[in-house]
Amino acid sequence: MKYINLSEFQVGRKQQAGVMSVYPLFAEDVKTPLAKFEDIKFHGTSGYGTMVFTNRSEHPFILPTGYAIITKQLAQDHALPFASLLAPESKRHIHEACCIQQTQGGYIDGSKVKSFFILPLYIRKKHFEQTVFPRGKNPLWKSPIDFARLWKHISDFQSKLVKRNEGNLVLFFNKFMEQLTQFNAEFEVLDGQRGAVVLLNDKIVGIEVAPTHEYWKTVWNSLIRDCYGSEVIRLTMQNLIEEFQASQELAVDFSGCDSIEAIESAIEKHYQKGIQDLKERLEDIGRLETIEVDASKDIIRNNSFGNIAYHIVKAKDADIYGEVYCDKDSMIYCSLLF
Amino acid sequence: MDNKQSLLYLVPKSSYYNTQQEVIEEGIALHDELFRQDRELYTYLLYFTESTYYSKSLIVERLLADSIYKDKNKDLLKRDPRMPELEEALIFHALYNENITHALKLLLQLKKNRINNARTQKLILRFIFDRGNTDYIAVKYKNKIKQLLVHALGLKTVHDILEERPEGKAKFAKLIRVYGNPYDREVFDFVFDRERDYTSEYLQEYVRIREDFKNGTVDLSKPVNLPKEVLEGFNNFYRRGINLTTLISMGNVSDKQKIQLQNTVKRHSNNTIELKIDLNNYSILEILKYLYSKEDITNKEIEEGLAVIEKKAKDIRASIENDFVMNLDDATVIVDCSHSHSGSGQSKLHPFFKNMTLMYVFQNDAKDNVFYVGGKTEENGLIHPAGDTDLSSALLQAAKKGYRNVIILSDGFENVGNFDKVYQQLKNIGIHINTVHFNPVFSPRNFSFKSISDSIIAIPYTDEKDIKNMALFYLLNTDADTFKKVIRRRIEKEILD
Repeated sequence: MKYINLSEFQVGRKQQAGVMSVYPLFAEDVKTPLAKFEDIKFHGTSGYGTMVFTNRSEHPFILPTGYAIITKQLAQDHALPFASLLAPESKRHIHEACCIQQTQGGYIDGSKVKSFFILPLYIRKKHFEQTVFPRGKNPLWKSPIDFARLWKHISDFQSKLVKRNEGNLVLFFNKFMEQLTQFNAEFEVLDGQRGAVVLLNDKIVGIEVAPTHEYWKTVWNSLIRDCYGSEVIRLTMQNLIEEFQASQELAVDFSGCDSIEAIESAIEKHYQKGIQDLKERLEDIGRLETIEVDASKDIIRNNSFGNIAYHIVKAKDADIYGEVYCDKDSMIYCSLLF
Repeated sequence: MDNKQSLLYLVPKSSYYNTQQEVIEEGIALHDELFRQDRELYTYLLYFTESTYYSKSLIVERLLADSIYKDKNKDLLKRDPRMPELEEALIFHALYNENITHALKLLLQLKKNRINNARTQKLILRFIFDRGNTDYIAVKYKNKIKQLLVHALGLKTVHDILEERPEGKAKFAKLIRVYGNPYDREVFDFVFDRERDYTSEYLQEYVRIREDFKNGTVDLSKPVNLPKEVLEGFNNFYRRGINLTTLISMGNVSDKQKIQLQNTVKRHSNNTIELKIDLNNYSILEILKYLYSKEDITNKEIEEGLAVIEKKAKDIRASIENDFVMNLDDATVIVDCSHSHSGSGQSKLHPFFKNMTLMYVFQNDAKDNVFYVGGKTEENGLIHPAGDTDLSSALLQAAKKGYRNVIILSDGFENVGNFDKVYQQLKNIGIHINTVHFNPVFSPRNFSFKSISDSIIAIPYTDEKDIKNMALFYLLNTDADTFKKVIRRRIEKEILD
C-alpha cells in the first residue's frame, strides 16, 4: 500500500493471550523533530463536534487517531476519529470531532481530564467505511461533517453487549473495563518498540506505528485495551469467534522433544517461523493497490504541516483503511485497520 | 470461590470497575458465605495479621453480632468448648496487631452497624484502656475515642461518669478501672473536653501548646511530642501560618509518615531540610518504595538501602526455613519483572516490589539461584519492570541447571511461551519440578489471583509479615481440614496459652 513502509522495522517474538496476539515492531525513533504528549494541552470541547488543543512546543505534534475523552463530567464525551496534527505553538479547534455520548449534553472542561481512550476498532473502521470511503468507492468528502456520525456505529458495536441502543460508548467501557484492563497486563511494551501488528485468531486486524518509543509507550495501553481489546470482547461475547481463554496453548508440538534442549529448540523454531510468515504477509500488504483522500481536501491540508504530510488511504480491493504521516517520503506514523 | 485467602484482602473503596457499593456488597456476600459454611475456619482467618482492617472488621462484626451460644452453633461448641475463648482471643489479636488508626476505624464500624452488646462493650473498653499509651493515642484520636466511649457506655453513663454521680463512679470502676490504667480518668475527661489538671505529660503538653497557639506564643524551634496532625489543626484553627515543613519536622511523625513525607519536606524547604530516616525501621517493600521514589537519591543511599534489605530478607528466610512448602536450600526463584508489574497509578510498582521482596528472601547467599524474566537495569543499578513475560524459558533454564524446586513470583500474565505446556512436557520426559507460585496481584473485581497452570495453585502474596504464613496459606487453599488442625495448634501455642 502506498506510503506504508515497514522495511526498517525488526519484528519481535509474538506475544499471545487467548485469541489475540501481537508482534512488536522495533526501530530507532524518527529524526523528525516532534512535540511530546506533555507539550499538549486539551482545553475541552467548545461546541458539539469541536475539540480544542494547544501545542506549547516549537515542533508539531501528531495526535493519535481515535483519541477519545470519556469523562464523568456532566459533559458530552467526544472523540477524534482521525489522526490530527497540532502545529507548533498553536491552539487548534478541531471540528471533525464526534460525540460519543448521545444522551448527554454539555461541554468538557479539559483541565479536569487526566487520561484518554482510543476508539474501538469496529467503530474506527465503520467510520472509514461509511464516512470516508462509502460503499468502497473513491472517497467522498463533505464539510462540515456531522458530529453525531458515530452514534449508529457505537450502537451497532455495543447494543447486544450492553443491552441498550444508544450511542453512549461509556456504557461499554463501564461494563467491560475489568476484562479490557487485563489486555494491558497481557501485552507488554518492549524496549525500543515503536509499533505492533495485532492479530485475532491469527488474522491481522491492525498495524500501528508511532514516531518514537516514548510516544508508543504513551498510546499502547489505550490502543490495546480500548481499540483492540474491545474487538476481542465484541467478537467473543457474541460468539462471533472462539471463546476467549485466559491463555491459549502454545501451538508447538513437543512430541519429539526428549530433552530440555529439544524443547528450547522447538520453541525457538516456532517463534522464528511466525516472524518469517508475518514478514511475508507484510510484504503482500505492501503490494496492495491504494486509493486515497485527495490532498486538496481540508481534512488532509489541516492535518499536514511543512514536510509532514497526512494521508488517508484504503486498499483498492480490500477493506483495509489507514492513516499515515510521512516526513517527505519517510513514514513516521501509521495506523492501518483490517 | 476459588481462593479463601481472598477474603483477607477486601478494601471498601470503589475500584476502576465498580462503585464502592458494589465492592462492599460483593465482599459481604463472600464473607457471609464462608461464615455460614464454616464458622470455625472463618474465625481462624483473624489469625492473619496482615489482612486489611476492613476484612478484619467484617469477621469481627459477624462473630460479635451472632452469638456462638446460639442453637445453630451447638455442634461446634460441643466439639470444641474452647471456641468462645478462642474467638475473643483472636478478636483482640486482630485488633492489637492492626495499626491504631485502622483498629479504631474497625471499632467505629461496629457503632455504624449498631452492634452493641456486652461483648462489644468489653472489646471497646479493653482496647482503649488495657494499654500503656492510652493518653498518647487520646491526643491524636480524641474524637474517635469519644465516639467509641459513647457507643460502649451510652450517653447517660458517660454523663454519670463526668458528673461523678454514684452510679457513674460504680460503672467506671467496674468497666474501666479494672484495666489499671493510670491515666484512665484523665483520658476520659480529656476526650470530653473537661477542664482539669493533668499528670500525663502528653495531655499536659497538648494543653500547653494549644494555649501557646491561642496566644500566639508558640515556639517550634525544638521538637515536640504532639502529632503533626494536631499541630496542623491548631495552626489552621488559630491561623498562625507556620509552614508545613516546620510542623512536620518539629511534630511527632511516625516512621511510616517520615518515609512518605521526605520528598514533600525537601521540596517545601528548597532541599535544605531532609528527615532523618532509619531504614532498619521499615519493611522491605517500604525501603524499596523509598529507594525508587526518593528524589536525588545517591548511589551510596541505594547501596545502604539494599544492604538493609538483604539483612532483613536473611532474617525472614531463617525464620521460615524449617516450615516452608519446599526445601529452600535447593530452590530457585523465577522473578517476573515484566512491564505489567509496573502497577497502577495509586500503587505504582507495587507488584514489582512484592516480587522483589520475596526474591530477596528466597535468593541464596551466592545470589546465583535467581532467574529474571524481563526487567531493565537503570544507571543507578536499580531494576525496573520492562519487557514481555516468558516464564517457560526461565523454567527451562532452571531445569537445565538441575533445579527441581522452583518458586515463581509473577502476576501470571504470561504472553510468550507457555509455562504450563513446558512444565507438562518436562514431566513427560521425567523431569519433575516441584513448583509454587506466589502472585502479587489481586483483582478487586472478582477477588481472584491468576494462576499459570491448572496443576499449580497461585498463592497470593501481600505483605512480608505474611511470609511466615506461606505454608498455612498453602493449606488454606488446598486442604481446609488440615489447615484447621495446623492453625489451631499454632493459635493455642501463640495466643491462647
